[in-house]
Formats: sequence, structure tokens, C-alpha cells
Amino acid sequence: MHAEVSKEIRAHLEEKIEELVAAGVSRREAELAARRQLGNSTRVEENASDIWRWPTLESWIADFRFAARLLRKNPGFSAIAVLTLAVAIGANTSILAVMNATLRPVMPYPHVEQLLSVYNRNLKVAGDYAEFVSQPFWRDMRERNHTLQDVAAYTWSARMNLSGPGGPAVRIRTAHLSSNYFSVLGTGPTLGREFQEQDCLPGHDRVAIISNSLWRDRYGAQTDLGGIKLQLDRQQYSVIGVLPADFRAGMLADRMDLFLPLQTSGAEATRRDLRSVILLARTKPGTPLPAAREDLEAIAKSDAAAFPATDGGWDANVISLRDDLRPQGGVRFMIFLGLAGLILLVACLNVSLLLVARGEGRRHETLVRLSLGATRARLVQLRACESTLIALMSVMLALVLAGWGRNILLAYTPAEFLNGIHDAPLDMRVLAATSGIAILSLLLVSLLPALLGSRGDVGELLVRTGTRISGRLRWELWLVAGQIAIGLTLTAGAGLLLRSLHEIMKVDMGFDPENLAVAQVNLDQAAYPNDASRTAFFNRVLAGLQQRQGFDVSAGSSVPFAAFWVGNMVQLPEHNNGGPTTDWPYCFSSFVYPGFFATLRNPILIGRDFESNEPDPVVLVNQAFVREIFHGQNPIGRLVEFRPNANTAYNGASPGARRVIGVVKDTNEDVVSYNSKASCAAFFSYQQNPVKSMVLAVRSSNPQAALAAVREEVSHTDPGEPLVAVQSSSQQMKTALGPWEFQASFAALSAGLALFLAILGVYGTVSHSVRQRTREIGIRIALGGHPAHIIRAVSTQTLVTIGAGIAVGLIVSFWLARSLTALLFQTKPLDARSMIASVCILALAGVLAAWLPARRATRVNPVIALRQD
Amino acid sequence: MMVLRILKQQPLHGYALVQHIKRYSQDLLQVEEGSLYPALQRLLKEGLVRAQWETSSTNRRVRVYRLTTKGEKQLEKKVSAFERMFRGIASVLAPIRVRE
Repeated sequence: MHAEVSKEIRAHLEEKIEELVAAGVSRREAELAARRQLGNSTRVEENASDIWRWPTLESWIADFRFAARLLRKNPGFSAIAVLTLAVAIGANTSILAVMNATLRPVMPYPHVEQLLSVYNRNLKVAGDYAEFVSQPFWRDMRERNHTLQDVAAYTWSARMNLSGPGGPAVRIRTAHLSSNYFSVLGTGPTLGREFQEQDCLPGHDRVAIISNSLWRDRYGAQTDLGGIKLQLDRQQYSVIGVLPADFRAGMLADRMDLFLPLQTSGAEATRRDLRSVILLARTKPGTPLPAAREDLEAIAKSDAAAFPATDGGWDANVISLRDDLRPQGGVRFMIFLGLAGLILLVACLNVSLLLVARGEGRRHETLVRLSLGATRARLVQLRACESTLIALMSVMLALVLAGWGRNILLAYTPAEFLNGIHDAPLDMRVLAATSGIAILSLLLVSLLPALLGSRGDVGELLVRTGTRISGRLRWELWLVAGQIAIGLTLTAGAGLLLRSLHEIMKVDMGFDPENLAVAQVNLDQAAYPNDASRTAFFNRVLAGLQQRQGFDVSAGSSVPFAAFWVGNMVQLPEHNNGGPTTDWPYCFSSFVYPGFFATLRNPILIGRDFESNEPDPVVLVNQAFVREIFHGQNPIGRLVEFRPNANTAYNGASPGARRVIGVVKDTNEDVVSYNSKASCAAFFSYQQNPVKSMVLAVRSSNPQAALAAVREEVSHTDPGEPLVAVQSSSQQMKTALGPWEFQASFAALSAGLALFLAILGVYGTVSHSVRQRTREIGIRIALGGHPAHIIRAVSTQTLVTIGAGIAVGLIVSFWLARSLTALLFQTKPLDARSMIASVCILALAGVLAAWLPARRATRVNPVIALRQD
Repeated sequence: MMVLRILKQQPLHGYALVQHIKRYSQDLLQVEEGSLYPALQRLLKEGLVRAQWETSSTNRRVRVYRLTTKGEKQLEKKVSAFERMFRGIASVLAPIRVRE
């Protein structure tokens, strides 16, 4: 293109020259005249070719280089801007990473989209409850479906006692699987074999497949499986397979230690009313979920018609395995992410402010450029380059910070929030989200100052003498108001969560967790088949412990934080009208030794404790029981009817009427653990109801020594008995308080950061306004202006802005506070105290941040100020 | 606009264009030769004219510019706008002339 133009221009010159020569001018003169007429021919050529050039690329590159130079020239500014953004983006990224890892089910199965969970749905109960299904229902599904490759059944059982060589007796988690389970799941044992049909029949079912960790830790990864001697609840089992280390069981409780074959004979195999298994199905390739759902629901409907007594009112509840295993806790993470998002917003506003302020500083340069013919778009482009560079550097730094932030989060987030993950990789999803965040903040950061900074008309350059042009600060003030508003919102939110933490720590636990050691013992049926043997075991252990110095020992089936609660249906005899017990109120039942309440320091408010060998059936109840069953009347001496709870397999107290002999104070562990009120509870004498599972409670000066003693005493009494949940109560309480502390400190940290940024914004804006008005201030001082007036003059606008920001922030807080409800304890979302405190903090901090630079204005030396330009 | 107007009558190369403009305006308008070529390139880029190397009447390799259809339309638009403006100016100036 360039060559063509120059050829054309040469031709032009020659033609002209020839014409002039023809007119009688000498050739030399003609050449000169022709060139004179055209001007600088190279320049003309360039101008002509320029028309064709892709206009932006080169200027972009030039602008980027210029922007980089500017940033280098002003390292303080650049560092603050980059750091502010990087911290905010990094915080968001680390939360995203942890959230991403936590909320995504780990499902290392082939064609996971084909896997379904099939439950029952009880149509008589509102809500989408997933109920277990019966084995006949499973067989119907397996035989009559048109959309599935196969259906497996599984159930998880209570924990079992594992004993035998290889280590001390332990309590392990077990599940029962149908023989086709691993083939449906698509993954199975890597050593040994899977279950076969005959393993599920009586006489062949003493086989187990064990987890990789159990195999490694207890059996030293021994490859000769036949050599492993394994006892479950004192029964001999042989190990036939070992699962790979990364195996996940494909069920909600997926951290199982050991798998057993599912019994496919006996009552459970034939009775349609015994719902004890969950189904895992694999659809045929390409079958969409709705088709499979329709297919299985049709089978359930025909079952319901064929067996109205057992299957009537029940429907199939088919969900994808992915949805079934999706971890809970999204709301909490969304709130955390929201907080971090607000921080990012404040950070963006701050960097915007910085850029605007600096743009003002370069106003002269901008005006010169404008007057020399730079287009506004070009100036916006230059500013955009600067912001892009800042954003790019921030993202790089943010990724480093996010790595640290993620590790800190993983270390400090309470385990129950993390769903058992140990690592949160910054994977593609996280990086994609981060890029999104970065682009968003880039737009926010770059567009505002770019648009504001390129305003101005050339005339201003001529009249510019340092006088402030009114309205110049208006946009900055908007930004400051936004920061204050967000700062207030976060502070108010943090206030609510801190208040909740304060409230929860004030809760009277009803017992003394300090120096209390607890250990649970579960006697297995085989070794302790009757009441006498169980009572003998616990009596011996307790007697042994009581002989030791400085131990206050007792036992009960549940201790706060270490409960194995069972329950009973309960009714006062005068209210018993012979109706079904399923309509009766429910209470938790606990079985305790005499002296249990004294050991826990759980006071008996009225009445008395159990005595050894109570002659009559008696019961103690808690305050909640008195409130709900006795409606607050004095229960001492009154009779209460207890019936088994029909809804669970675990038996509570044996049925019958009992006389109330005392009322104990409510223990409030549920308040701390689940944010729910103390439940109705009844306490029975252990001697009258010997149960298999008891918690030994020891109060001593040294809980660790106490636990060691308990361990010793139990294994001395019976080496095959494992202990579980061996802990001190204060430790358990700390664990339960962990989430509250974490969410409060997280919110407080966010609020602190936002507050800091907002104050920085206010400070920067006022100092900037002071700098701009130096000349005016100088004149005022020279004319005898009072310092107070000057302070007022430079800070009024900002103070009004802070006020406006607080007003907007209050409205936003009121609006957003409700979303925190799930995390609050005995604190209303519109808690006046937290709101007022936040407003005071913001107002004070804002005024201080405005006052400091304003005071500097009074020290302006008029002589210097007036000579400034 | 002037360039388009001239090219509408006949295709020309750069130098001839300069001569034509001078002639049409009775030497009232001196075309800045240096700015003609960038202007032509701009018209080329906008697709209002197209260019072709040809041999001129003086037996010279020259690049001849022709108006495209788009160029003609553009010219129509501009001329009519200009005429409207011109009529406006004329009607404002007319009474003054009468008083003379």
C-alpha cells in the first residue's frame, strides 16, 4: 500500500515537472517548485498510508508502555493500588477455592451421570423426604425396569466393634452391600474379589471387604488376605477384598471402614413394610433422568396398587447421585463470599478514587493533550491501559495471596464446614471465576476514572490558575459515599455475628464442662447378651475407677456433646385416651447411675437423685420436659407413661408408667451445636434399664490422665471392648463453639478491612481537596480566616458525604441483615445495638479521617500558597 | 466533496484532479497538494472511490480514481445538504444586497 502511494506521488511530481518545463521553466527550478507545492513528500506518503493502518493496536501498545512508565515513576501509588486490589481478589479467590472443593461431591466413578439414587417418598408426609426402601421393592425395580442397566442395594449399619489381632479393639463404620454394588458403581476392590450372590446367603456371609486405610494401618498392607484374623462384634470374619485408597462409597456416609454383604434372605427380604435399604441404579447409556424417573415411578405406582397395605401412599423418589451426594453448607459459604465480594467492591472504589485523584493531578497534562487535538477516546484509552496494567498485576499477586489465603482458610475453618476435604486446588473453575472477578473489578476501576479524568475543555487550560472548579469533587464524593455505605453494611453484619458469639458464650450450659473427661463404651450383643452381664461390666469398671485418687466417676448413656440418644413416646396418664402412640409427644431418654448429675455438676433443681436399688419405677426429667409435658406444673410425684419410639430401631426405656422424683436443669449443648433449644429429656435409672451403650464421665484435675485411666480400666475389664469419642467436655465444647467463633472473626476481619479502606478513601479525598484549594486557603488565611472556618470549608462536603453514605449503608444493612438470620443466635437481624455501634464507629472513623487532612489546611503558608503557580 | 463531484464527471488521476479543482474554481481554490493524497486514501478506505493503474493520455502510468455507487450516493447526500445550507445563507444575505 505504501509503495503504491509513493509511486503515485512520484508520478504526480514528474507530471508537474514536465508541465512546468513545457511552460519554459528550467528543469531544476521546476523540480524545486513541484516539491515546494507538494510539501514534504515522505510526510505526505506517510499520512496517506496512515489512513489504512489498523489504528488502535500500535497506539494501544504505546499507551501500555506509557502507562507502565507512569506506574514505575510513582511506585507508592502503584503499590497501594495493586495491593488493595490483590488482597480483595485474593480473598475472593481463596474463598471460592475452598467453596468449590467443599461443595462439590467427590465422585470418581465412570459415567457418573448414569448413576441414580432411588428412595421412597412417603406421600402422607409433607416435604421431600428420602426414605429407605424395602428389599421386595428393590427386586421389583431390578426386574421390571426398562431404563436401567442394573440396580444395587445398600444400607449402612450402626458402628461395630472390631477386635482381634492387629491392634486394640476399635469402633468402625460399616455398610452392607448387595453383591452387584461395585459393578453398578463402576469401581471396586483392587485386591481380592467383590461380593458374589452366595455371600449374601446365611452361612456364607462372614466375609468382609475392607477400606485401604484399615488394611494399611491395622494389617500392615499384608497381601495375604487369608491371614487376616478379624472379629466384628466378637464374630469371626474373613477378608476377601481391599478397596483402593481413593475409593468413595457412593453414599452419603461415604467414609466407611468395612463392607459386608447385604442379607438377601429372612424377613427383610420378603416383608414390604421393612424399609431398610437404599438403591443405587445405573441407567442405560443415553437415558435421561426424567425417563428413568418416569419408568421407576410407574413401577412404584403399580406396587402401590398391588400391595395397598404396605406400599399404598409410597412413591419412588429418584434423584441423580450427584444431587444426592451434594454437600450442604452452601448458604454459609454464599454469605462469606458475599462479605468478600463487598470487600472487593470497596477495594475497587478505593483504587478508582486513587486513579481519579491522580487524574486530577495530571489535569494539566490532560488539557494540554486535549488542546493539541487528542480525542477524548484516546485519553480514555490511555487511562484504561493504566487500570488494566494495575488489574493484571493485582491478579498475579492475588493468585499468590489466594494460595496462602486458602491454606489459612483450610486451617481455621471448622471441620464441619469443610465436609472432610483436605485440599482446595485452584483449579480451572476457580481460575475462571477469578478472571471473571478481575474483569469486573477492572471495568469498575478503569471506567470511572477514565471517563471522569478525560473531561475538561480546552478553555480551562487558559484560565487555570489553581482555583477550584466547583463540582470537580462530585464524583469522588459518590465513590466515598459508596465506600462508607459498604463499610457500614459489613460492620453492621460483623456486629450481628459478634453479638451472636457473645450471646452463645453467655449461654448457661447447665453443667460444668471443665475438667470433665468422657468416654463411650458400646458392649456388643455377642459378649454381653443380657442385663446382668452388662451391669456387671459397668459396675466393675466404675468400681475400679472410683478406687483411684481424685476421681469423681459416674456413667450415663448420654453426656452433653457425647450423646447416643434414644427416645420414647411419652404421655401423662390423664391424657392417654387410647389413641396411637405415634401421636404422643417425644422425649429423649438417658440411663444413668446414681451420682451422675453430681459428677456433671448438672444441678437437680427440685426433688432427689436416684438411689441404688430403687424399689419402684422412677424417672427424673429436665426443665424442657416440665415445660412441654407438664405445662410448667410441679411434676414431683406424678406418673408419666413411656412407650417405645416406633420410628427408630433403637429402643428407649421399656414401656410403662414411672413416677417423677426430680427435675434437673436443662443442658444447652444443642444450643451451641445446632442453634436449637434444649429438648425434652427423661432420665432413667441404669439399674432398672441396663443398656449396651454408656458414657463414662470422670471429673478430675487432669482430664488426660483420667482418660488414660478409663482406657486402662476398660481394657483391664475386657480387652475386646473399644472406647469411642474419648475427649474432654471442654474440648468438645470448644469444637462446638468453633463455627460461631469462625464466622464472627471472619465477618469482623472483613468489616475491619472495609473500614480501613473506607477511611483511606475519606482521608485521600479530603487531602486531595485541600491540595487543590491551597491557593484559596492561602488567601483566606492571609485575609485573617479563622482555622475553624477553614476546616469547615474543606471538610463540610466530605462530612455530608459520610452522612449520606451512612444513611445508604443503614438501608442496605437493614435489607441484607435478614440474609444473616441463619447464622445468628438470639440476635435479631435488626439488632439496634449492633446498628448503633456500627454507625458510631463509621461516623467517628470518617470524621477523624476527614479532620486530619483538614487540619493540615490551616497550616498552609499563605505566601507560599499564593506564589504556587 | 469537491473531489467526489469532479470524479463523478470523469475518472481522473491525482495530478489531473488538482488541475481540475483549480480550473473549476477559477483558481479561487488552491488545493493543498500534500493533503490530496491522504484525502484520496481516506475515500478509498471508505469505499467511495476505487483506483486502478492505467496509461494516461500523456502516455504515463497513472492511478485513476473512479467514483463507486456508494460514492455517488454519498455525493448526492452531501450536495443536497450543502445546497440547503447554501440556500439558507443566500436568503439571509439577499436583503443586504438589495440595499446596496
